[in-house]
Amino acid sequence: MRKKGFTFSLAVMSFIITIFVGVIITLAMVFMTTFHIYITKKFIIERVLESTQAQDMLLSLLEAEQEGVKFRQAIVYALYQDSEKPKIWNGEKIVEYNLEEIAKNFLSYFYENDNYWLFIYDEKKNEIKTICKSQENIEDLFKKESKKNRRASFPIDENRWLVLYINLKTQE
Amino acid sequence: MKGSIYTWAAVIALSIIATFFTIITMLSSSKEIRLTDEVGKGINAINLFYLVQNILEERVKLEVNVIALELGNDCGGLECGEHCRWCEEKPKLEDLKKEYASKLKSAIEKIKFTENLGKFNLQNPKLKEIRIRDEEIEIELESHMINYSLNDFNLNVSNGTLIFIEKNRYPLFLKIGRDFVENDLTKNLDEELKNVKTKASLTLEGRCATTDELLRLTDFDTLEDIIRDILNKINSKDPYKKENCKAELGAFSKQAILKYYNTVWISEEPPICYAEASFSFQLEYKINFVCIDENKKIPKHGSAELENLTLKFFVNVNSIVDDGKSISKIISA
Repeated sequence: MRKKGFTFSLAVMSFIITIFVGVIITLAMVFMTTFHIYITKKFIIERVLESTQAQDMLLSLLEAEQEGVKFRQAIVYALYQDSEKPKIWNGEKIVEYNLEEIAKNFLSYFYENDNYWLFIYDEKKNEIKTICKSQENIEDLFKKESKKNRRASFPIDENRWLVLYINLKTQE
Repeated sequence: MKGSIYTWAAVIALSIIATFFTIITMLSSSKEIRLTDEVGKGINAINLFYLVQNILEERVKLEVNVIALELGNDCGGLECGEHCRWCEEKPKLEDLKKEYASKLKSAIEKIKFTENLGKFNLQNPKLKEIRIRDEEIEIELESHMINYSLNDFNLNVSNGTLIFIEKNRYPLFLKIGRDFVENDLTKNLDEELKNVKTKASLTLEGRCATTDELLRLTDFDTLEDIIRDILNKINSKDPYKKENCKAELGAFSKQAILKYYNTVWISEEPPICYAEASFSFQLEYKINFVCIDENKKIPKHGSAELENLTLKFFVNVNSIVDDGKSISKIISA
């Protein structure tokens, strides 16, 4: 009788423990997916902020054109001329390329309901020069490192980077 | 009996649940996620490569233009003895192109990007070759490389070789400038100056004409205009007209040397004197030469100003005009 009771208790406890472990694993997986943490075979945990979608957006933005002048040309000229509105000859006339206006039009079209922040970061001076942002005090929003932040960046010379932050109100 | 049933039920329940979670774990954690992660890194690395390449292309093209602008304003960076003076022999076209290539090489080699891109590393591009053609410059680079390495997963993104071509007429201006100095200028000057009137005669009543009066009857006073006309004729021909290249007269000095003067009284009453004289004219002048590309405006460093691509230099010329002959030489150092 005692043996029967013990076996029954063991079976019930095993069942409960297994369910409990399963629930924990499931919760952990949900947590990892939500926070973009992946576990590789060797248990390397990486928080994924670098977003392919944001990179694609930067690549497209570099091709944004105004009167025959592309954004990629304008950004290089802006740094060379030390001006936010570089003057560029398009083969017919001088175009004053407004980096802020072009970037804002472009990014607002794709991120109408989301927040974005495009800036040049000088790592030597630790200085940020904002090109455009979707709202005032955007810095605070992104500094919170919200789980919804997506970032893409690339170097434009030895010390400076072009950085795009996107804060998605709706997940990717 | 009952105990044995419970035991089996527990074992089966455990097995089913364990199998269920094992399958979920196998499917979602290890290989699949790792593969997704690595494919994602590959896409990120490719994107990063093209982001850098786009900026690299613009920076290389900017250097091609900026160096041409700087050298063009400084007569190609080479001279003979005096700032921006060219001679008949120097500087040679090949040396001018080498100077351009050398400045371009050091400017392009200075283009560097941050090498540490988070989990990726960037290997900066290396200059392979510069090809200078009349109206375009071709830059060949050993492409930059983005790499990522972690245990058994290695990733390299590179294009091998990158070729950027920028339209720029600076080398053509150098060629036109050297042709002007070596072939066209003195040839055209001598062809026209040999027709300059260096002799004069005058018959006066009561006295003989002086050498000064006779000199005024030659083309001596209009020599400056004659040279301007010759230059205008050169300017109106191709390639000068087509490429917007102009030669203009600068500082000018002239001297008339009397070679022959004779007077004859051809009548006593009334007294009439016939006088004749022949002169040799020695001219020394400066010719400024400039080519401007109206379709190429290049930015200046640190300023929003744009400047036309230009080639500027000058030559000093010495001409001796004498009795239907003219010998012009570009003064050498």
